[in-house]
Amino acid sequence: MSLLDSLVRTARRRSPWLFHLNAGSCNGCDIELVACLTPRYDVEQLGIRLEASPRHADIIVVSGPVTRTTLEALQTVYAQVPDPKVVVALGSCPASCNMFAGSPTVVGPLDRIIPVDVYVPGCPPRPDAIVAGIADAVAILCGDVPRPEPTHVPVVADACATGGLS
Amino acid sequence: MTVVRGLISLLVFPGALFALPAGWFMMWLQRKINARAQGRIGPPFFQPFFDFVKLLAKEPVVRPRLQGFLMTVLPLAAVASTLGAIALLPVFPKAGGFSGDLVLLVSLIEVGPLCAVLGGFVSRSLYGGIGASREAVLTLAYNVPFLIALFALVASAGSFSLAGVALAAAWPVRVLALIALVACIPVKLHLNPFSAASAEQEIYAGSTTEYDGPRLALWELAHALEWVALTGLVASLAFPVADAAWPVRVVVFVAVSVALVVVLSFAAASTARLKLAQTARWFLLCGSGIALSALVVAFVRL
Amino acid sequence: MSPVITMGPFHPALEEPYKIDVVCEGEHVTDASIRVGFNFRAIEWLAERKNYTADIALFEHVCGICSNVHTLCLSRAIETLAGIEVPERAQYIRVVVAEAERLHSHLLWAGIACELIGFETLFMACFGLREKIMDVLEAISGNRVNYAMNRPGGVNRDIADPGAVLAAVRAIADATSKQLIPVLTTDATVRARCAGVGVLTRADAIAYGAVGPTARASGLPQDIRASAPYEAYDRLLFEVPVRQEGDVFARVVVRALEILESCRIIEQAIEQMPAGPFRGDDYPKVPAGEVCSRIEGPRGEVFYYVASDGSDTPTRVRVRTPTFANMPTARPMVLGQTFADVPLIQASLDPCYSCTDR
Repeated sequence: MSLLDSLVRTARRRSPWLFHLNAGSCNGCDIELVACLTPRYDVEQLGIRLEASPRHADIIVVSGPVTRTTLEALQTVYAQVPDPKVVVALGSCPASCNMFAGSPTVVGPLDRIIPVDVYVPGCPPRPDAIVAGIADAVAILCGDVPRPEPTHVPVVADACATGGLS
Repeated sequence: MTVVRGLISLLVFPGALFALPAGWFMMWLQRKINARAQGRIGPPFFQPFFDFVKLLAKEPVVRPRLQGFLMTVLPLAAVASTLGAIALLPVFPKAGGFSGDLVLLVSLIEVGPLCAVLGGFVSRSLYGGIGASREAVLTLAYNVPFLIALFALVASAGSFSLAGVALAAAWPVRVLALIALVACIPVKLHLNPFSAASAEQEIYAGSTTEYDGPRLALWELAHALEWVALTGLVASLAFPVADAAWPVRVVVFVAVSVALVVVLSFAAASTARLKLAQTARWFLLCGSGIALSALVVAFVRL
Repeated sequence: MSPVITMGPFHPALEEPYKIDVVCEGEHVTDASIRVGFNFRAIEWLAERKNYTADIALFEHVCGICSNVHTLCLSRAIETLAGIEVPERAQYIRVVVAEAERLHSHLLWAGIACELIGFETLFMACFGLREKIMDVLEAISGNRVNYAMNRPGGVNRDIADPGAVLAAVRAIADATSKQLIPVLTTDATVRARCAGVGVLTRADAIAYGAVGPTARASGLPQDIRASAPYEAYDRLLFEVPVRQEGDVFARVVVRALEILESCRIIEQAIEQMPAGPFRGDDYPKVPAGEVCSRIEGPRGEVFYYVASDGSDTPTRVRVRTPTFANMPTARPMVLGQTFADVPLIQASLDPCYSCTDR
């Protein structure tokens, strides 16, 4: 039993598949995430793969301050990723809305909409910081590190109707 | 005796015990070669195995009962039929087989893509549907040269049994037919340049878009086994020496299979993806041309 | 009934969230429309509530790929309003950073285009090459993306090591002309996917008001750097590559040639760069008035309108990005093409919806 358990944990540690979700980002974080796949950083040697379908993913990487128009799709995608899953907030925007705080069309930060497990600060974070953040997420995924307490109670779908979250 | 032998070839060699690690090894080799060609380091050796275990350990999404059933049974059927096809491979042609096992092999190999097509449609996703219809079109297209090439071998050997074909087909026919067969492999394995059925940038993951966790793991397993079945088919037909000892046969079988993986991986790494119509046209013109020439040679010799 | 296939807002072919509704007959596209607005962060609204210093940083984040053109265009608008001159060294530094950004943007685009036709090896090659220019940008500005180089009256940082920039740029020009361009133009599978696909005729390009490489690939020789030179461009020699075919292949070739031209420009700029100050002493006071400013970004003409009432906050900032002009041309391009070509065709515009939505 414990052998099987440790096999599953190792497998989760060695094979994290990502789904990337751009919730109104400026592309800065997104191109740095793409740069992680390329020869200099090459995250495939850690078993990391960027998956096309949320159904295949283990880790959701969200960039951007969450605009109103992406809110619904964000929640749909979050629900589509099978458990166990970990959410990584990529960059300063999903963590704090960055310089878009106060904008009437931004409903973030991200932790008010879905529970966030790992924050990768930076505007944008360097690819090595992104890889380190994914490593943190993997530690949560395979159970090496306990999942952090949610920072906010996620507020859900009526955010659009009430005109943003204050 | 034949039952025991059949069980051994299904469960031990070239069946499950050999085919599973071999399939994962081939998937790893393809990804590794791809990465090295791109100047990257690439995935660790056990990557496909860990991917499989991880997917198996994920919680499946709850689905309506019939849909969930179909989405589990279809990949299972693909796994089972591909394993059956591997068991039929004439690695040891002297050991027998039966008349007509070639027909059975072809139909078992076709069950995999058929399941992928059905699996795409039952997942009720738009992209799964598009992937499935592309898969169906491609299956029709590559089967023309695939079947003609096999028929050329049959005509040349004068036998419908795999053992007979493996031993008796004439060399020129064999070479031409094998070239045609090798050209068909990338479509089945979704490799460039014939990977239109799983074009990630157009239709997400194609027919497996909606599959998750254990169900996706089964598709991955079927995919790994398809590697062994298809490269193994070519490898077992490429060594027509009747009186070789069994270790020699095994070594040649494995070596030719791995060499094929290397060739296909380099071809995939150095090409772009052709569109559906371009792929179909290629198979109906070029692929069939090679296969037809094999057939012509076979009949002229008769 | 023809099925409508919606791509997006999250789709592997799209770096950014937007939707394309494609109406298909089998694999053939009979209609298409693009829905944008997923990136709408109300930046212009925020700009009216922040002072000019904060606005420079804000507009840097209109787009992470072409961040420099936005701050450059806004800085130029503020300089025109305030009537201040930029030191000559700063003009050259601005040219170097702008062209370095064009290099990284074009290489990024070439990589994405290769990825979209499934040519992963070439995608990796482009991004490997792009890392060289990212190193240059990081060495100059201290950050890989969002350089924060421009300010009204000059630039924030000097180029400390011009020799390293020169060496990197020469290496890029070499690799582009010896590896990238030969593969892109001669590989049979690349040609099969790009040549004759997504044609935008010269007449359509004029009718839709296309700008930048998209227009230049359809036979319109327009480039703000040549027709209305700004900064140091009037002292630098370069050509504007133009192709007549108007298909995806022509857009690939135009951008590939522009990579070489950008390398030429940077080499000249580094060699001609005079010594001296690289920024003014004081932050300028902006008087009342309004001004337009336009420059050539990697994707085409970027246009800024700034209105001021004399306070430290603009009363209106309006941004018109090249993608806003180019986006509608996607429809005539995709009509009659196959569904498999749609991602490539829309990507051949080098769209930046983060810019467009703001």
